[in-house]
Amino acid sequence: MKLLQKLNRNYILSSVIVLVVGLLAFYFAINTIASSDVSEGLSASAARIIRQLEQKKSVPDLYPIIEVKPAEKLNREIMKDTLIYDPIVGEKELFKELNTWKSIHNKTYHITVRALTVEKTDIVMSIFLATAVLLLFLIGTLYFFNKKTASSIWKPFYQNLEKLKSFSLQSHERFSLIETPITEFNELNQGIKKLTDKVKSDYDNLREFTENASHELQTPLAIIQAKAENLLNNNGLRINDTAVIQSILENISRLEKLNSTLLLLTKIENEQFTEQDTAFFFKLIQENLENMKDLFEMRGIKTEISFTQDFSNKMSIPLAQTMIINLLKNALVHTPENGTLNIKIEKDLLVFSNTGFQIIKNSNKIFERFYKENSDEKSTGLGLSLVSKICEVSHLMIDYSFSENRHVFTIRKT
Amino acid sequence: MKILVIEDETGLLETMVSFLKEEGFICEQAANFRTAEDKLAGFDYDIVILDITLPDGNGLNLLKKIKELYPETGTLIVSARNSLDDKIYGLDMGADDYITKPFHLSELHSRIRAILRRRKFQGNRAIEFQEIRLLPEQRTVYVNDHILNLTPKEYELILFFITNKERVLTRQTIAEHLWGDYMDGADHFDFVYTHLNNLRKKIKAAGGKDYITTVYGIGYKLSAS
Repeated sequence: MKLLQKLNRNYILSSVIVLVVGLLAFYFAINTIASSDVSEGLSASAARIIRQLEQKKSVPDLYPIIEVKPAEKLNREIMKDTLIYDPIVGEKELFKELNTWKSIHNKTYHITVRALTVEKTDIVMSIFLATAVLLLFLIGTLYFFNKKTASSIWKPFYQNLEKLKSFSLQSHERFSLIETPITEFNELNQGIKKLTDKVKSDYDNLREFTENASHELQTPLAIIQAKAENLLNNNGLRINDTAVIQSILENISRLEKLNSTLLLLTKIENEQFTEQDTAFFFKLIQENLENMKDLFEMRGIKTEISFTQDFSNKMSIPLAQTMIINLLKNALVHTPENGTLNIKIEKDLLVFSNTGFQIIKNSNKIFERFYKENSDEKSTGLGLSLVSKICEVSHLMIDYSFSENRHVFTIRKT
Repeated sequence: MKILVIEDETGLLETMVSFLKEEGFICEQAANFRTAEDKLAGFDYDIVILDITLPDGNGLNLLKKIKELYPETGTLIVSARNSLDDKIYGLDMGADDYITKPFHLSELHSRIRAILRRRKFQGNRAIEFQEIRLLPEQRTVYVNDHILNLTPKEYELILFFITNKERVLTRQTIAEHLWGDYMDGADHFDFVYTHLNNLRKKIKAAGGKDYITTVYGIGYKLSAS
């Protein structure tokens, strides 16, 4: 529920409660005041009648307002409500009556004075009507008022909310919120600003650290590699020495590959490839396969693309490229000589299948980092985990299966 | 040919400079932004090799300056990051090429030569080694005036060898030069051997001498002797 709705609802609910309580209070107050006024008036009327009688003046018999009858004995004064048929109005009406007994000049009189009172239901109805009108009026104005002013007051809040939703760590734009004249909103803005600045600076630090770490690693590697290569051209070396240098160079190269792949994985995890484009896989696969043609040929691997409709996906192009290269490299390394690599491209399906002897031993671990089927493999063990990571951030899904002596990698859209 | 190498890691800087001097370049060096600026102000260079990350300034700013003041100078960016951003940004700003650390010195040399060929209009100038003559513009190779029918990879291979003549090239270096990203691990050295063998056969068939010697367990060397 929106805040404004909730507030309105609460306003309305509380006004209903207040008005109901007010209605009851009104009722009792008006009732009490009215009846005490009427009683006072009746007592005064009775007193006037008694005075008239004492002065031996005649008292008009005005039924049902004034009634004077002779009585046998004196009684205590009685005040009560009674329903009497009023011949003038033509219906039974509620009267308040005061019965007084008085002895005047040795005669006993029973004096009754009555006054028409407002019926309880009438009071309740009129109060209810009045409050209902008031309530409707209140709700109406509240609604109108909120809609008019609240929307202008809350506008910057909602705008800032939208800005916050689109907040991105990758964005190079400065994150700024709209100023409002409302203190609370400004305090909130300040809080958010502080938070986003902190998050952004932490993120930048982390990114810088990752990059620096890679820089720091690559530079000494570059120096070692350059120096070792220079050593190779030294004519005074013995065969044994050159073998050692060669081994050093090979391991530097492995370390470099490992480092750059890990860096790439980190970058993907840090969502640094936000630039989205549409990758068309037929062209991408064809180009990369062409570049690797001689590599496949030399291993006697036949490659074949079967194409029905192009598979395209909204994603970062460099990542799509990296994904395809790694899938091809994987096939190149793991297809036995004279095997085949089939690539099937359909509208929403991409299948790489290559000849194999048996299913991967831990096929559930195939996409894990550093998983190697054989410990003597010289690969980094990162290629397929890179592919799966790229799929993950590009709304794709990759599956591995083994059927009819083929390793099958299936990529679908999620 | 005069080269300025701007690199903050002195270990790498010295190795690069001594390598380039051996290859016959006149080489100047700068280990930071300020020295680089001073050197650039004083001399004309054919090529500037530029590390993007310098302790006292961004190499990309330096690149901008070079492009403005010395449009004739070729630029090769060296970066430890293989961040695609830097690469695209650097090339967008007019750098001629981009190489990531760590690199093979022979690869660096081959890139420099390629830039020089493009920049100095030497594309149509033949590159010669004994009886082998290579025309970069047409991508053709002659041995004793017999044209060789080479595959693109074989052409790359002979050019790489002639560029880095008299120098041991490891199989790793050659493989990375030919296949770059498509190849990792040491599994594919056979491929280098296969290509090289085909190349040797074609040169011999055209009446050329086999100048490529095998350096046992390491790689190969193109040598006149």
